[in-house]
Amino acid sequence: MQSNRFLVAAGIVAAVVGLAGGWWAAQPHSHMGQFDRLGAEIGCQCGTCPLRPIATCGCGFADGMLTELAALTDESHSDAEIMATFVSRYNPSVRIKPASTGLGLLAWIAPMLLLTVGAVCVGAVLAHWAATHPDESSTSPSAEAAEVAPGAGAPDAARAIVERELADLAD
Amino acid sequence: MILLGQYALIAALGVSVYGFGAAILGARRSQPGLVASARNAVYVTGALVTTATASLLWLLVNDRFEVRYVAQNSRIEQPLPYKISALWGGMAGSLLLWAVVLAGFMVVTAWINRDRHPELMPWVHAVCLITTAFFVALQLLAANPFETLPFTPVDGQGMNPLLQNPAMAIHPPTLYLGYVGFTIPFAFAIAALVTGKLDTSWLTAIRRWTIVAWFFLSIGITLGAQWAYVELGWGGYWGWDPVENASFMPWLIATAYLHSVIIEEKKGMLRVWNMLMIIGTFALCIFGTFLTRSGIVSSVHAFTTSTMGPLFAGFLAITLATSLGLVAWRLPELRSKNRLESVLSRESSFLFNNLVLVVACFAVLWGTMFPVFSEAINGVKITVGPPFFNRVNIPIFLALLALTGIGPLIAWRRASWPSLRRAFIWPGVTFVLAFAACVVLGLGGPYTWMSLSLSAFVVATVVQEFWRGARGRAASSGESLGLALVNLTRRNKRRYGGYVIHVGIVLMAIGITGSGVFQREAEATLRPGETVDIGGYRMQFEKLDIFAARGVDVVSASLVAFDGDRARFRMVPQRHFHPRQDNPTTEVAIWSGLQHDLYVVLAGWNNDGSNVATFKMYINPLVKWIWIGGFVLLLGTVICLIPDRVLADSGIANY
Repeated sequence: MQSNRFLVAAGIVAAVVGLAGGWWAAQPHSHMGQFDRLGAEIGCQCGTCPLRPIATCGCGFADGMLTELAALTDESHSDAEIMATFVSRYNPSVRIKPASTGLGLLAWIAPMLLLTVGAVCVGAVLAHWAATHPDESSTSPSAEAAEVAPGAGAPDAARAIVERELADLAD
Repeated sequence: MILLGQYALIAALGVSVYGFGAAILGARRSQPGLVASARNAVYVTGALVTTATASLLWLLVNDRFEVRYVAQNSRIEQPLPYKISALWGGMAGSLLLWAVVLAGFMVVTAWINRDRHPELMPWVHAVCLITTAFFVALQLLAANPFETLPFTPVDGQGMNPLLQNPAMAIHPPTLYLGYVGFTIPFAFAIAALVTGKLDTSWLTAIRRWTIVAWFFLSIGITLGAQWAYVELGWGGYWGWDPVENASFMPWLIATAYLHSVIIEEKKGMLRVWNMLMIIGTFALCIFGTFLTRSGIVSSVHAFTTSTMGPLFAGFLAITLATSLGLVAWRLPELRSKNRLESVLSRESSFLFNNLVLVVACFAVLWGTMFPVFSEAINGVKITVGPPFFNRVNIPIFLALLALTGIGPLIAWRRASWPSLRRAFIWPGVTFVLAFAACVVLGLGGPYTWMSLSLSAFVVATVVQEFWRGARGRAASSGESLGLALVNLTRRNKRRYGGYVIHVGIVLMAIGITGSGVFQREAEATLRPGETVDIGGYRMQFEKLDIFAARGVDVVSASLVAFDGDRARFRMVPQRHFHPRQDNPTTEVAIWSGLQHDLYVVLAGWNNDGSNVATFKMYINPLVKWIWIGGFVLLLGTVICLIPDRVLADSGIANY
């Protein structure tokens, strides 16, 4: 039972840490230049492809915005300054990646929050269920051997296992 | 014909509302006569909605432009297939398509189950009929396809040129078959909740319906991606557009259900959860339809803003309130009597699979609706685009890919460490080798390594499952390995069909990874005879032609792709200027191979007679594997759906 709880806790921690690490690691590629990075975060404002990044949009309007971006990056402005310029020239919807401050931060953390709460709930349910059915075989290889070991009552136990396995074969 | 369609719709509304009432009264008062009358109302409603649909089709094909819908979505020179597909090219017609598909499904359900599930069927009829009534009422109140103009135009405006594409001609009907198909499992779930017949009989009744709906939703999503790839001209196939997301969300929840329902069938567990999954899938289908038509989010695919948003919101609220109320009412009876035997079991892996799928759905829903939430909270619409969705969802989908491989390796009920070691050794070795190969070859970054090595892990799992099963069967029956493989699959189609679906998902993951990470792009302005290099090809611009075809002005460029000194193939990207449309459409030239696609867009040209043209060119690696993966996924679903006469005759399986 202890080992069950340990397994559940370890699994949850591994999953949450792994996914959190994944999200953190999914920053724009570090090797990308400022032009490519911001080109992927600024949305086309042509009106027919409102959410598409100008780097991949391909329409003539996006090409114009890319030219503006190239001019700003050549002038060595920071990311924040360039974004602020685009927001002032167009509108706030030009920023298609929520900021990591204020309300924008909520957009980023909500999925992570749900995952954490969900993982804890699933873990709690699993631990509760496992506690009501003490599991021996999962911790001890010898337990499985004991289930089918020859001796008194072994044929019945083995038959029960075979019947359960055959029933499971249905799926 | 206009009046016929109009009156058919009005009558369909009346009959469906009557049938709804008769079904409920018949069930509550145990009056078989009323129940039979409700069933007949299902058939009559089906006939009436079909009549209305046939009327609109006739009007479209015969260019009856006095009807507003025909004038807006068709024109004389529109090819016949697109006159037909104009039926779902506009708002009102698409609602009629929803209604007619639902009518067809409920008629088939009523017919198949005419002698089965006597307690459930009146409630199934009631749910189907009231849903049909809602969609018919929407047409009569907010988007009437038979509304006439005060004058008759000489010609129509024509359907949106972007929709005049073979994939788009069949994408909406398949998507709707999926959306609407989930009404039937939902109706059975509600019937089970109302009647308290919560054994597995309702699950058995909907098993095939659920897979069929999932099948069509999968086809619809894949076709939509293919349409975006060939028609929108930006080099990609999925842009996390709200309407794309709207179809993806029910698919995710339905996928979760298809896994978790197995636990209910085998162990009687997760009954509340499965109810919530079915209700959630249906609600998301309605929500997706609402999202496309309400104008609450910006989308390239959405219909124009209409007044039907509040109607949809109301229907959705009533649906959720009623169904969740029923679940709460039946909660004591829905509680599982069985418990998990071990944490190390396939049941556990399915629980985590469900959690990850639900979180994925939430992340998509959250990102899609966040602009609306943010505007409601502080008055500023915070736009959420592909950078958010990619960053949040890629790790989630990698986790899902890992669980796709892990799940089949863990035994039901309880797994022992020795059995886990045996099961994981070869897939694990495959994973490690693939990961090492990715790192050594320098294929992208950590995400690419994980995606490709997890794909190899899942394939190894599936191969091992087939190999062990076939070898065991061959040893016990004396069959050849090939025959044993076939018989193994025939004996347990849902399990092995599911594995084939997993392979399809892996192929799609490989295609998405390849095209997402290794895409190369070039832009060049060329005169005839000049060349540009991209991805090992030398592209030589030949000529620029301008001509008219079927009422469309076409600007067409011709390029020859050289591989070394050898001319390999010719590519002809075009721009089409459709009458009465502001912007030209992009007709991409695509040369498609297993390794990569060469994708060429005519981005611009000079009108001064110099024949100078500008091109955008992309090398999209492994894109074809996405479509191949889609076919494999469909093949796996078909395997799951093949009726098992032998088992059915023996009463073991009862769909």
